[in-house]
Amino acid sequence: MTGSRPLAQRGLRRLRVRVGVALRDLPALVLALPFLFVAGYTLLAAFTPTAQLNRGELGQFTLENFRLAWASADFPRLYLNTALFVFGLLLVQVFTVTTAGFALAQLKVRGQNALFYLVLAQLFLPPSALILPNFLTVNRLGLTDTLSALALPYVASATGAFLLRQGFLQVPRELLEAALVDGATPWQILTRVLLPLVRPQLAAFALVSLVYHWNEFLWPLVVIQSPEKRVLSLGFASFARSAESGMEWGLIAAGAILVALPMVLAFLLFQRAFVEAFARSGLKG
Amino acid sequence: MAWHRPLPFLLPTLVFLLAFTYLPFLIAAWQGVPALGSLAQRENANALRVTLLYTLLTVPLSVALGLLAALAVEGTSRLRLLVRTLVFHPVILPTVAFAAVFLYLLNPLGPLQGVLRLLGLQNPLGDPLGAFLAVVLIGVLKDAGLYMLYYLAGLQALPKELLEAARVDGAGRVATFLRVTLPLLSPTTFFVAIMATLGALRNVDHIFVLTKGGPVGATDHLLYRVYVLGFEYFHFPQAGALTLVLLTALTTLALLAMPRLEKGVHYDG
Repeated sequence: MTGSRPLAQRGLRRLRVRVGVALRDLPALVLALPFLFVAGYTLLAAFTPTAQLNRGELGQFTLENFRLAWASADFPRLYLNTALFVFGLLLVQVFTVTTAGFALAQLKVRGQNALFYLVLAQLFLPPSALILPNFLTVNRLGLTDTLSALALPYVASATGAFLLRQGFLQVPRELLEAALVDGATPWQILTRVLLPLVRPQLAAFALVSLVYHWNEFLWPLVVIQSPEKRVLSLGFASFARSAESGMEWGLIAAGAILVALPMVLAFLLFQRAFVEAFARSGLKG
Repeated sequence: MAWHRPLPFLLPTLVFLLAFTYLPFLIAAWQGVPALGSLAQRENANALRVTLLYTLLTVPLSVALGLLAALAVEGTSRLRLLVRTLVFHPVILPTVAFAAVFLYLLNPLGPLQGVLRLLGLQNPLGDPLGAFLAVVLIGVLKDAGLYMLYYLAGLQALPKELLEAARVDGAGRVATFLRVTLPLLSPTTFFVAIMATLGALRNVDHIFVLTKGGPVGATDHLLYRVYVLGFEYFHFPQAGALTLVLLTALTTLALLAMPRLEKGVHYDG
């Protein structure tokens, strides 16, 4: 009996601490709401019969939307085309950004300033703003309606080049000098000595590049005409258009999930790597 | 590492840069200069105005949301890490998919009908102002997570002694934030503002899905109009003229940002 008062007081204090902690997390919770709302309703809509959604209701469960979405576009083909585009491009980019990063790390600020800025400025001149002139170029080359044309404007990447440059600049000088003394050529030094050391930068760039191009829409819309060469974003947009006119919200949500799923799964599995990659890609010169 | 001429290694990148980043300036000029007069036409002038308004609205909102989000989720509690994931995830989603969901969310019978009625916007996508705000909202929500990351890194790089000193001197939390934290974060703010401007000028995917530039041109972004003029009407000169406007804006942005970027305005991860 005698201990009950202090106990109650202690309980009260603990409660107050808890409320304090909860209050401190209040902004985070408020911030989460709109994002939770959008993500939650996407899932709900995808698993609810369209007829029910059109009455503004929820509650029944169905997989019909996914079955219909899968049937209304050639998803295997869309996945394959998208994968060919993003991984094919990445393969080429690994070569171009590594060599460019290596070169930029060697540039001395004085003489070769112009080259430095020529690459850096590309950060501000995104290919999506250049769809018209680049289409004319691709057309002249006879490459319209090909997956390789999708890749061309992205082969040179300032983001990648500067990310790799950061990596190369961190390599200790002694290592390079030792390799030079051993009579290694620059190419050998790059591929045998340096490449393993910039693996984190290369991985970060790879992730950002894959995500960015997996989601790419405008340039493919300009370049690709045949349905069998479409990438995911194009296939989805054309089927969303017809689903919209029929107000088939469940179908749209299911389709959106199908399109985003590979990247979302990868993101959930490798969250840390994704977040780090995107944080790094906001790089300084 | 100055023992070797770097040019051969830069060559692959330079060739593609010239062909697909710098040659386009010439092509756009060759197509567009004769049609520069068309910029005064009603639809084109409208596109310029819409793009300006869209940028002026999305950029401050993106910067503010990025900063507030970073402040809200700073730390390592499980809840905060979870919210971080939630705010970041739209960054990895295709804009077309993210935007398409809003066709459902904003439809007159959708889950937001109560709120929309309160705002007097029963059918926002059918209303010029509503559609414009919807496009702004999606633009802001899509990339907020990225800017949050930049601000989180910026916050982490703040010199703790300074914040401590402010506290010792008796500065309150608000005063510390306004007088110490915010000025120290200004390089990050500059960087985020530049990135958000770039985003506002180049990402129009959601307009394709949501509004197609309408209603009555309310969301007719410059880049969307470049597409319509160039690839639906095949009017290359006018599309070229609008591309030139876009390139002028982007070049200005580059000239503004590059000197400060090179000085390492942003942290390095």
